[in-house]
Amino acid sequence: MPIEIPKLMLITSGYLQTKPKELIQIETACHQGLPGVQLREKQTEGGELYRLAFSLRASTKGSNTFFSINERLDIALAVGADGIHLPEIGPTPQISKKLKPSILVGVSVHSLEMAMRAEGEGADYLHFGPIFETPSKKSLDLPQGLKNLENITRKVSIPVLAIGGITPVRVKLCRLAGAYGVAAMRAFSSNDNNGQVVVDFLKELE
Amino acid sequence: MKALIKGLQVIINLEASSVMPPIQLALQTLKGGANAIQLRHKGIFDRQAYMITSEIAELCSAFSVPFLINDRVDIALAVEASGVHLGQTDLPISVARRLLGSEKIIGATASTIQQAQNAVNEGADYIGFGHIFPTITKLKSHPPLGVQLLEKACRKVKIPLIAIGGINLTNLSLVCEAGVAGVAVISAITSPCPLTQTENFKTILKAYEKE
Repeated sequence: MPIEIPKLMLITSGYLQTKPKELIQIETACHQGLPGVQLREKQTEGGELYRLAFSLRASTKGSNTFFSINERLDIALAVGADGIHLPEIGPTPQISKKLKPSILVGVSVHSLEMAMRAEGEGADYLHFGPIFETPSKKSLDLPQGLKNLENITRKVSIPVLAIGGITPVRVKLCRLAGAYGVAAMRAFSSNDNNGQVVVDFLKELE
Repeated sequence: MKALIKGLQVIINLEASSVMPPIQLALQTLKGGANAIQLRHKGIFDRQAYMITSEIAELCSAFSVPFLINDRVDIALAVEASGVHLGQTDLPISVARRLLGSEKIIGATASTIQQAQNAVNEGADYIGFGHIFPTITKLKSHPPLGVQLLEKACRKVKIPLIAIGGINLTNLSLVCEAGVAGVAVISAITSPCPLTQTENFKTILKAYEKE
């Protein structure tokens, strides 16, 4: 069964290696119907990242949760992930497609120009943000706001997930601006009850 | 046929500022007779890094010299490199082998004979053994291994062994006498002129070939 692009994506905190509890939290979230998980652990070396990916693939498989890995296509291929997520400065999505035609490629973009380029290069979906103020991206990135989000969702035809300061109560605003879905890190990592967070998000996404 | 790793392996570090741009450095050392190039790039493999890597891959292919990527199996596949070089904290050798197939080269870093033998059992094609001498290239977690241990490793490990770490023109003969298949160099190759320096290394290495 082909897996679809998730309307809600949990992004890992970057500290999975030192917080094994987070893995259990994510598993709980999967059982509550979490549609997607993105493994994003920039400081983690290949060997350990492979082990984390292997473990997350196991927790996401049973619940049919979309599983994507940041940047490391080799690890995505090795564990059979559904997607790969590239930064705006990353190589073109076509390279990933060449090595694995069925893989879904997400690209993080921060401007309309980059959104259109990514779409033209074969991205399957985009992350656009930060929409709201967020402590996980330092002040270098001023919030893009809902207006820019709307501008982008009008001009590209692939799904756009809003990211940055996303909480369940802000989902409707993003959806009104044309977002296909949302992606969040802090909403999950700052809450001990990930299962409840999923329920709250899904209610808003209905 | 899979190329045998021997002679002089030049390691090019993309993020380290060097005497010259990485593509130029590759070309100079290839002209000087390098037997393999290994590219290292930690951090995000951005579009520019990818383009540089593709160009070096083409250069190596034009010189019929194996081109290896450190850690990133995906990049090796994408630029059709000859293989990868894996450190102890990188992807497991068995996983890399599954992705690359049997025709690609997999090198593994080892700093003990036990690690080297484990890598052989997992399917590595050659071992990068070191660091042999003190080196400033990377902060090291253990003291230099020395030539005596290197010699022992050469006797015990059944696949080609490449010595790495602090090897220069002065101590190269000692390393060769230990019985290595080759050496890997990073900083020693860059000054004063990579082409001449590569030739200098090769002259000494050739004297120890086919003994």
